[in-house]
Amino acid sequence: MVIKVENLVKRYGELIALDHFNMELREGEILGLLGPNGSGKTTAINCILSLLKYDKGEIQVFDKKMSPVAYDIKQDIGIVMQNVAVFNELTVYENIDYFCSLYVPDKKKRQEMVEEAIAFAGLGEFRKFYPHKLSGGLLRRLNIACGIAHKPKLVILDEPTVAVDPQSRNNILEGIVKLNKQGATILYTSHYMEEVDQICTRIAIMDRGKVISSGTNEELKSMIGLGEKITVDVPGISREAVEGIRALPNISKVELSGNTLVVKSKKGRNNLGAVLHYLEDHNIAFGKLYSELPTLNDVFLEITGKELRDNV
Amino acid sequence: MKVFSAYFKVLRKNIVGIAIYMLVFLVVVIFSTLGNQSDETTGFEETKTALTIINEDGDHAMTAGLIAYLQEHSVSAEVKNDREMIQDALFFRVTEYVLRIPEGFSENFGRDGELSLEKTAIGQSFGSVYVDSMVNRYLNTWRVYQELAGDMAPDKIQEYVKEDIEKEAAVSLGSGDTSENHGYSMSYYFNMAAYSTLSVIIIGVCIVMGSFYQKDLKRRIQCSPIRTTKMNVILAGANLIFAFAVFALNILVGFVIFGRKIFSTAGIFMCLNLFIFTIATLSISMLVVLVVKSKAAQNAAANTISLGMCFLGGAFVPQFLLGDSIKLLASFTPAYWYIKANNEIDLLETYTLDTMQGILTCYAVEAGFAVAIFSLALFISKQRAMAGYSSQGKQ
Repeated sequence: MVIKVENLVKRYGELIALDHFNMELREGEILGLLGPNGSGKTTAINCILSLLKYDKGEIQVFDKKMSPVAYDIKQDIGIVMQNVAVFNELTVYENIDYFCSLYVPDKKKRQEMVEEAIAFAGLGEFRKFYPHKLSGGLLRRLNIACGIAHKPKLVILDEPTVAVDPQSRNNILEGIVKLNKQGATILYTSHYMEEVDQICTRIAIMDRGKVISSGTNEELKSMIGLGEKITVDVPGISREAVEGIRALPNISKVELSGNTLVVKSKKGRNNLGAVLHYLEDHNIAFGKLYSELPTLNDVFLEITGKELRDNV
Repeated sequence: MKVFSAYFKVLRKNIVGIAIYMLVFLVVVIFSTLGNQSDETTGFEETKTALTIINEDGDHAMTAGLIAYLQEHSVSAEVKNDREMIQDALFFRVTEYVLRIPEGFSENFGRDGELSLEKTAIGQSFGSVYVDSMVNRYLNTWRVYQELAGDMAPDKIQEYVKEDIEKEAAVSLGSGDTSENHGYSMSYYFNMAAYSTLSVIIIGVCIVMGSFYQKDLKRRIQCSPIRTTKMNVILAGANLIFAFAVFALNILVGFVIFGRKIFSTAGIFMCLNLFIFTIATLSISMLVVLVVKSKAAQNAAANTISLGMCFLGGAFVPQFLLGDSIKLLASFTPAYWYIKANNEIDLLETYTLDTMQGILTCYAVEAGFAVAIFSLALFISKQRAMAGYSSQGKQ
């Protein structure tokens, strides 16, 4: 087990930031810690990294107890902070070299690692640039390069794509997958469900300081028992027809709003076909029709009764 | 060692901002020092009195000798022999002393019925007393020769008198330390150096340590396997080197201004004093870095501390002009003891344990401040580390 957290409790006075937080990260995984702002993601990471004292619980990293003086464990961890944490007075190369030197004292070995990190982050032409000359996306990439240059076994990324343009975001996400393929285990926190959906092999959904659900993307979606959502334009549909659709097998909810009918189905196949057949059999004219599979937002909504997006 | 080199890279990148402080203060120091060069009296020149002689006695050897002697040591002022004209000349300071030699003065000198010289002068002025003294000296010497060798010819007596009264003893003004006269300006320079030392070191250390102590950067470093103690030792070493460089620069500028005089006994004691003060300043900087977080606030703190300490301590205004309550307040700052030591060194003539008691006390107090402030900084740092592994806020 790369990280094992058991019953972690962290209080700020009356506020409970982490409430018996449990988490496991297995070797080779990309675990996405998904939750709205204030759900306790960063607090959990700070506790795991021993940057923050906690009130109760146990944290193990690489099967050893984590503490501020666990320097042997820290040797194999790479951290990418939510905010860009680099020296404004050092160039791109010097920054990566400096942070790498904290892990790798050997100059020659380090030189190779720094070059690889620069290539990995696509910062080759910017190596002599000072951070204030870089765009937001390049700065984020520098931030990542500083965290991974020493080739850590575990990389912790705390919302690395906040305030980044879509193109840079895709570059960063691709880079994270690449890192994982190179053998790094990754803990990734975000409140962007699309990102987590896109890159994570396993997802832990957090709310109010605890993990409320975890599993693979499919596991989470199947857990809530939701099937597809069918939206169809049906001008002038009768009340009887709406009731007829509601009576179809596996249909859990039907809503008519103006000319648009939204049909939510339970888990199961051919729900779209069944709705289409019903419309044809009853000579009901219909226009635009589309079907969506459930998203993580639906999962979050189902579990907590609130939208993940609303909290962002 | 990468931490060490990063320290100096950060410093180098900010050197312009720091150098501006150093440059401005050095210019002020140099000009102020040169403008305060020693005004101490190191020699004297005879001043001559404006003298009017009205000779009614003719060209007797004695009278001629007296007139020649007086004219040699005074400035001749021509005034008409008229009572009113003489009064006007005295009033307008055309002359300071009018000497009338009456007719028969030489003939009757030393005999019954001896005539007196008549003088009209401005009160008890220095010039008047000086001329009186010259006249008395001449006449008394003449009288001695006349009484001892009554048959000697007046011309001969005049020769001897002239020879006697022109004999002068060599006069030199000196102190016990004439060979190494350090003067007022060196202590003035060292007092002003308190300002450059305080401002440059506090600003320099704040800028560099401020970078290393940025919240996220600090956390990133804390996540690395480098030990906190090792990191702190490296940074402390780098700070020490920076402080020593500022000290060396101050000495170098002192050397440019004063030359070898800076290596005189007094100069060396002032250099030692500056070194101790530099260490005390470094500990103040460490405290400022820990207590004041934002860069703007650190700049303000650096200016307030350096200006405040220098004003209170007596770098800009001499300590003897400061009120007792100000001095009492200032005694709680190392700058006061630093400047006090410089002033005492400046006054010192001989260097023994007894005479240096006050200076050594000042050194000890400055060193005490350095240790106390550094301990306080360590305590605050430790307390913060214990309060939470880092100063992380709510998430």
